[in-house]
Order: sequence, then C-alpha cells, then structure tokens
Amino acid sequence: MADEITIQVGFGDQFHPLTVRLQDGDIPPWQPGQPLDVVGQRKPRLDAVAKVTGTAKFSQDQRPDGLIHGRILRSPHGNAEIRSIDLTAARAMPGVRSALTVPDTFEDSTARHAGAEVAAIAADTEQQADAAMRAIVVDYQVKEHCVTIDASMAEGAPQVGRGEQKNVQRVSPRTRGRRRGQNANPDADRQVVEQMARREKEVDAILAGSDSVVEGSFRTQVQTHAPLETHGAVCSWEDGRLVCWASTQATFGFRGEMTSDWGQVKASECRVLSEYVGGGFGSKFSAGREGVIGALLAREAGVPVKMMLDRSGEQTSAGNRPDSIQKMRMGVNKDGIIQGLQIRSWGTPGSGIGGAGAHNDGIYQLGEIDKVEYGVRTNCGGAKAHRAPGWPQGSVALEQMMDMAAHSIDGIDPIEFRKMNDDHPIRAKEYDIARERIGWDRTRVRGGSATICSGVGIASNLWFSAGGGGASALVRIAKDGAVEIRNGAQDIGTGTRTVMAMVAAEELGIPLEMVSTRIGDTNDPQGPMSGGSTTIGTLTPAARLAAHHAKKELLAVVAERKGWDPADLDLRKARVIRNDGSDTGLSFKDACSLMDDDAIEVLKARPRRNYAGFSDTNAGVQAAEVEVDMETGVVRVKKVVAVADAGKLINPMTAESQVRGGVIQGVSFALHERRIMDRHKGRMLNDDLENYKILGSVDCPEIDVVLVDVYNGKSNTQVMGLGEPPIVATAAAVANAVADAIGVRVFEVPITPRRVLEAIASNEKSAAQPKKKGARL
Amino acid sequence: MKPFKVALPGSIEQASSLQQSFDVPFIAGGTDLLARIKEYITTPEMVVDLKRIGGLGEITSTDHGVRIGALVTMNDVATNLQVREGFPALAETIGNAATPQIRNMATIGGNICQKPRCWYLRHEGYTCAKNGGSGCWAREGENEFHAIFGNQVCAMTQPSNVAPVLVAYGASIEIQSNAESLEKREVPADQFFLTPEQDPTREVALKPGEIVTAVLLPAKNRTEKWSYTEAREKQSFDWAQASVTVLYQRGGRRGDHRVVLGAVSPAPLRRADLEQIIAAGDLDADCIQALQKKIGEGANPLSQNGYKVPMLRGLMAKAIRKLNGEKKEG
Repeated sequence: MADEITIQVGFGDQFHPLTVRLQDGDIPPWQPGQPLDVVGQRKPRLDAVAKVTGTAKFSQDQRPDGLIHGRILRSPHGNAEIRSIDLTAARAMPGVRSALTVPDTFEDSTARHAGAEVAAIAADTEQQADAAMRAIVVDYQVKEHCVTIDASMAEGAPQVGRGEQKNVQRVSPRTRGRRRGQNANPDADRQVVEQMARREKEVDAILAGSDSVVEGSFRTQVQTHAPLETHGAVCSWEDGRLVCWASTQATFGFRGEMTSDWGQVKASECRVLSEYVGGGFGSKFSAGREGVIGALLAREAGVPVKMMLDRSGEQTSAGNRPDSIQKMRMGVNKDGIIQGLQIRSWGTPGSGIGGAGAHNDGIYQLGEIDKVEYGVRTNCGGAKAHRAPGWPQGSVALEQMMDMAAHSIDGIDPIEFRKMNDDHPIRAKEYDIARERIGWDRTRVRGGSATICSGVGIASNLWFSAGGGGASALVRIAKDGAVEIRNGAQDIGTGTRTVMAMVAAEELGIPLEMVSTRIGDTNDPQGPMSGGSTTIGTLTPAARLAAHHAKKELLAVVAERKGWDPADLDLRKARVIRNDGSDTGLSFKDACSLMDDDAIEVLKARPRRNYAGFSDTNAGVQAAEVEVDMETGVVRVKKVVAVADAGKLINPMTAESQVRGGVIQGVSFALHERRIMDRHKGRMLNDDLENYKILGSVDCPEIDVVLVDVYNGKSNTQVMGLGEPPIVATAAAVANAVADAIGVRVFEVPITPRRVLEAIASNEKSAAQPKKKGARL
Repeated sequence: MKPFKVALPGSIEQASSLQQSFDVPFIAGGTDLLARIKEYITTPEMVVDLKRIGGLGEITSTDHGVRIGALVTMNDVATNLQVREGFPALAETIGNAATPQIRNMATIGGNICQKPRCWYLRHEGYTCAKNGGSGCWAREGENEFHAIFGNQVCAMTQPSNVAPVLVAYGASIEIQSNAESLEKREVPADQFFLTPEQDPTREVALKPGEIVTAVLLPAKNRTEKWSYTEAREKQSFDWAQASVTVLYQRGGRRGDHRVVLGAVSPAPLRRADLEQIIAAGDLDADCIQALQKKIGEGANPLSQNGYKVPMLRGLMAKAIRKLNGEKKEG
C-alpha cells in the first residue's frame, strides 16, 4: 500500500517537504496552492440566524410536558458543618414534588464555602420552589473562615481543610505518594526539599552571575466563568432511562457520570442532548452536583425537572479561575539573553489545592528555572478549568518580567528582546506583524504631566491543540441528494457545527448549503469534550475521512450504473467530473438518484495519532494600545492587535470570532473582573452581573485580528483549536501597555482606577529612593 | 421571586392611599425594585404601579422653569430639547447613566428614589443601620466603592448620578400625597436627599403615601457655564466612583456658583468652600490647585476607598478645564 507520502509543510514563504506514513485508511492533507472551494472561505456560522433570532433552543429553553422547577438551597456561611436538615415543612409546601439533602445524597455534610449546596427541592412553579426552598430548616455549626489568599496564609489562620491538611501546601515540585488528606511520606518529602534547596542555590548563583537581575511580585484575581447560560440541565426519566438537555461542554462525559455510580443517579441508560450551549469556558465538563440533583429530583417527582442555576449559584459555586501571587527574579545578560528565572507562586482554587498553578515558565527560552508552587486553601467556591487554565495569570507575571528585563538592559526594545529569547518559527514572523499594526514605533504622550497618556504593550501565547483520537463522524448521503454529517459532541460556541459541515462539503465537492450538521446528541457517534481547544482538531479529520469514503461509495455507484472507471471520477462544484476536469454531464443530485438504497452511510473514526508535522504548537502575539487618564486612573484599551495561528484555517470568520472572544475576555480580566469576598460572613458580594463587572460592548477595543495560515501536516485537516490561545496574552499586553503609558508598573490585575491612582501616588513618593537589587524572594 | 399583587390606581389619591407603609412600594420603570424583589431583598405583598396615573409623563415649560413629570423616562429627559439647552449637565449625566435599555425603562422619579447599591444592603442576612439593625458592614469590610465623606453612620453612596446635578441646579422635587387634601409640596433637592445622620433608614424625604410627581428646574441664568465630570471603570452599565458638577455664573458673586460632589457620600455633597474658591479668582491653574488642595478636606476614607480623594482632585481639574472650554478629553 502506497501509504508513505511526501507533503509540504510550513507557512507564508517557508515550506519544506515532510514524509509521513499515512495511518490506516487516512487521506493526505490539503497541500499549499491546492484549490479549495469551501475550506478557507469566510462563512457565517450555520446557527447564526437561529441564535440571534431566538429560535435556537438552549437547555434553558427546553419545556418538556409536565416540567417542574428545581431549586438548590445554598449555605449562607463562609464555613460550616451541616448538623441536620429538616425537609418536613418544605415538603408540605404547595406544589412540592420532590426534595433531597446534600449530606444524604453526596455523603458530604461540610459546607466549606458560602454557596455550597445543602439541599434541593422541586415544585410545580418557580415561585413554589422558591418558597419551599426557604422553608427548609438547616442546623449549621458555623466555623471560622478564610476567604482570601492573604487571610488563609496569615499566621494563626483557621484551618480550611480537614485532617492534617495545611492551608498552604506545595503542589510543585510534588512529593510522590501523597495520600488524600495526609501529609507526604516524610522521607520522600525530605528528598524533594533537598532537591529544591540545591536548585535554588544553583539558580541563585546563575542570577548572581547575570549582568542584570529584575524582580517583581505580581497578583492576579479570581475570575468567574460567568457564561450567559448558567450550569444545569432539564432532566426527564422514561422507564429507568434518563434524558438530559444539558448545558455542557462534554455530552459524553455527562452521560458517563449519569450512568456510573457517581452521585447516586445510576441511570441504566442516559441520552444527553446539547444542541446549543450558552458558554462554558471550561466550567462545564462535569454534570456537577446540579446535574445529579436535577436527575434525582426528576426521578422522585416522576416528571421532568428543570434544574438550572440562578446567577448567584453560578457565580459562587460553578467554578472560577484561581487567583495568584507570583514572585519572580530574572537574570539577563547584556547581550539580551535570559540566564535564569526564579519563581515562587501561590494560588487558591478553593478548599482544595488542585489547579492552582500559573504557567509562568514557558513560551520563551528562560535559561535555568527554579520554580516552587503552592496551593492555598480558602473557604471559597472551587476552581474549574477556565479558558487556558493557568496561562493568562502566568502571562501577566512573565510578560511583565520580560519588559522589565528588557528595560534593565540599555537600549533593548521589548519586541527585539523577546525575539532574542524565542525560538518559535511562526512567532518570529508574528512579532513583526503586531509591531507594525499597533503602531509600536509611533511617538506617544507618556507619563509626565500629561492628563491622558498612551502606551503600547506586547505579549505572546502558545498552545498545543492538534486534537487526537476518540471521535467518529457519520456522513449520510440520501438518494434525494440531502447530505448530513453527525457527531454527538457539542458546539460550545466555537463553530464546531459549521466547520464540520465545511470539511464535509469540501470533500464531497458540494456547496456548504447542501450539508446539514447534527451535533450534541449522545445517540450519535462518539465525540470529544470541548477541552484544551482540541475539538476541531479531533472532529474534522473524522468528518473529512467519513465524507471521503462516502464519496467513494457514491462514485462507485455512479461508475457501476454508467459503466465508467470509478478511479477516473471525482466530485467538484456539485458535479461529477473526470480526473482531467471535464464534466460527465451528471450533477451531484443526479448521481445520488442512481442509488439503489435510500442512502449511503459511512462512519469513520479519526486516526488516533498525529503526524510529526511542522510545529507541535500554535504561536500567537498580541499587542495592546491603551490610554490612561492620569487624573482618574481610568484605563481604556483602544486597540488590540491579535496575531494568531491555528494550523490550517477552515473558516477564517469563525476563527476570528474565537480570537475576538479571547481578547474581549482578556481585556475584561485585565481591567474589570474580580470576585469580591466579604471578610465578615465569607460570602461573595458581587455574585451578580451588576457588581461583577464584565467588559461591555462600549468598552471593547478595536480588535485587529491577523490570522496566519499554517500547513502543519499533523492530520488530514491540519487544523488546531483556537478557543483558548487568544486569551493567554491579552491581559499581559494590556498591563505592559499601561506601564508604558504611565511610567510605573501596576503589579496587580485587574488594573482598576484605584490601583492606577495608588501606583502613580507611590511612584511619586518613591521617586527619590534608590531601588534594592538582587534581594531574595 | 415571591409572588406579589400589583395595584393599578388611576389617580394620585388612590395610589397614595394604597401606601400605608413603605412595605408597599411604588413601582414605575421597575429597574431597581424588580431586581430587589428577585433577590428577596424586599418581599412586598403588593406593589403600586404608578404608570396609569395621568399627567406625570410630560416635560413642560412653566413660568418658573421646566417641569419634568416623574414618569418621564431617563431617555426622554436626556433627549428633550428644553433640558438639553437649559440644563445640559442634567442631559449629560442622564445620557451616560446605566445602559440604553435601562434608560428606556427607568423614570426620573424612580431614579432619584432608588435604593443604595451597597452590596451589603443588597444581600440577605446583613442587617445594618439602614434596615432595622445598627452599624455598617462596609466600614470595616469591603468598601472600594463606598463613601469617603459623611460615612460614620452608614457608608452608602447616593446611587443617583442625577442627584448632585439636581442639587447644583437648585431643582425642587414636587411631592403629593393623599394627606391634607392632595396639597403639593415642593422640597428643594438639597433637602430631598437625606444623610444617614438625618435618618439612616430613608435616603429621601418621603413619608409613606407620598409620591414624587415631578422634578422642577428653575429658570436659568443664560450666562452660566457648566461641567459635569465623573469617573467609573466601565463606560456603560456602571456607577460613578466619583463625580463633580460645577455651575459657574459669569460675573457672578460669592454664592452664585455651585460645586456638588457625587458618589463620594451618602447624599450629594455641596461644597461651599470650593464655590468660594471659584468666586474668588479666575478659572486658572492657581484656582485648580487651590480647589485640589481643598477638595479632600473632611474626607474620612475607609480601608479600600482612599483613591477617591485623588480621583476627586483629578475630576475637579477636568471640571475647571471644561468650564474654560478646553477640548473634551478621552
């Protein structure tokens, strides 16, 4: 079998040949210069009209017959133990059909943050459910709480965790063999501690030998996901089988949880439907307690239950991006080469310690690194993956260190400095694009006595999302010419539905309008969760492969009926053509009508492995331009240039949308969003969309998206995901631009008027004082 | 949301007699009240809808100035020609309030009667001086957006951006009730907005059964210069962190000018000391410096809101530059 082929990989004017051995049944990727009719075209998403006109039905909109409404009672205390729950009065309230308690259902009587689930109830109307929820009697043993990273790290702070769990615990480097709730084996731990001490000494020495050492202590805030559609599902039971209309970014994962022993549901079968999802950003991988509660309340009630969170529940308990404290020292030589980096960082993901990390030691060639990372337990809602988990906060620190290091060496421009310490082949080009389009070298009013100052900042991103195995696509060509492509995974808004159809249309040589996509139904073929920006890279090769084989079957039918050579036939522009390009006189529809059967159906799995390809990572560079009002501290981001790449671009329009979304959420992270916890009662004070400030349309900067098309050769579609990468660099670029504008660095995001005014004031105060050099972290 | 009845009176008399206590709230645009009902901050059995009452929805010229009916929407006030020409600071502040959607629903009467945005007051379970308890959670708690002046009893800020501008223009609030045979009473704006020292449980000088029927703006001196400046994090759907309203009478004497600070105290804060500085000299750099030096006097910042003092200094400088006709910034 001639399965070893040579393809061209690269981008722009840099291509080189690469020999790959095609996996079983796979087809070669599209080649540079190859004429494509659909792929690479700007196409509005197929569900755009349905979404903006309201005909798209989200989980929130599902109203099966007999639907009743669920409510979750949440703890009002920062930290409490649930002694007992009395549902008697609540169950006797009008309209109540079912109720449960969290201690009974989840065997968990701790309520370690304000907002923790305590009990749930379902009633005929929303008002009845509200009233009944408020009639639940709970006896709490209220304990002391720590709701901020500082409170938790303070001497004598109350213990947040259980058993021997300390509030502050090292998460990296890890000591192997640690058990839940226990401290690590002392011998193993001592070894790690000794290694850490050696490493610290080595890097100390490297920094001491560097021409320049810069240091900074950075902070980032807790950001909630705040999707427009809250978490939850509408759940309905039919003979032991469960149907969930779920707001999820993992239909199959949701189904798996419901049919496993997890959370007492144990449905014999479960079908998860999720045709439209109102945002997830990483917080909707699990069914969550709300999903389990909805299923259990529906089972007891014997009618469907709508169990969608209210905004307060969403904000307090449905996930967040952990905060961080990142202390860094960087050594750099006069030639601009980074020698080493020392990092100590802390983050609080709630009462656990997982997911606290900040990615602040990558992207660039940073020399020798000494990094220790700690998780800090607080009595706050638990973290979940949040669009590029760990990256934006890491970037805020690392990229500001890059600028500080560049400035510490006379005459090095921050962009040139990055190029000196960056070996990514794509990014090298992207820096130049960003520089030109943001007007990097334009003269600006900076600092001093001006009232409005202008500045620019730059930052980079990195991602690794070529996808992998675990997905199949079904392509169905009907006798009447209707083409459908199906996969059971969801589209969380990234355009999955549209790009699947585009790939199938390209392969079948028909216009996009002739293909319909069905997604978000676990009765259809297996698909991935929307995580790590891998959905498109995982699904589209399966879609293309299935379409390719469906085409072969159709052409075989044509060849047989007409007595032609099937190897000489192809489909293009909805016509059956010969290899020399000539028309056979048959249209696509004519060809379909020759079938004996009702339809051709082909199910194909994506090849499990990726090819070596051109680059394992996507790159990306963003530049921001800001204006800062020196008198009020108000920052306006005027423009963001976002240079992005994601392998081969299937649909530049939806790709651009992803980049815009990342930039918007990134600017919002840079300037506005933050969770505010009340020290008195341990509650979130801005658990709404009024005081939890999110960038609005008027505040959006001009976003100049530049997409770089890369033939990476990693799969038959060569595409990489673009959901997460564009948020990585934004806040860091904004922070660098603010520092450029006002002449003093704001070490904490969000960069609010308060922080800007405080930074300006402290700068004026300390202007005369000399700076310390080389202090230990 | 707890279910409630809606009364739809057709007259002020009927509406007034339906409100025996503040437990029965009036509703107009509903942009504030409905949010508080949804959050169980208030759980009325009944609300009294004022929208069927005639005569409250117009802007009219009178011998004494302009009368804005209480039910006129924020958007209609902001776009009204008489308001724009005669009271441009009012048009400016309203035009930037909240969002277009809210401005289309919210009324001028409701705007000046809205409850404070204090996040303690808007959460269940925090009783304080304002709602039947004592003390103020914000003073020793999370207070980045709270008051820096007059915050000893309660650190709320008056949430209406319009309020300081009405005080500056010397507006009056027309109030009617069922009592005393529907006699109208007119309360000057600077007496309408109450400080916590006057009464911590009320933000405005309304008694049960009293209805704001109009905002009255006095006829204007044509030589007046004005400026309204405010700072806030977001340009829409956000509240001012501080605002400065200045009215300057060309050739005016001491007492003719107005300087009113907003969003830094529980009630709009008129500053006679700053007005005197304006009266004493030219609107020049020295004047700005003198104002900036003075403006923080009397402030008692809490742990997280000290930035409001430099912010006010900045806004004051902008206000004077704007009076001088300098180009609008940023």
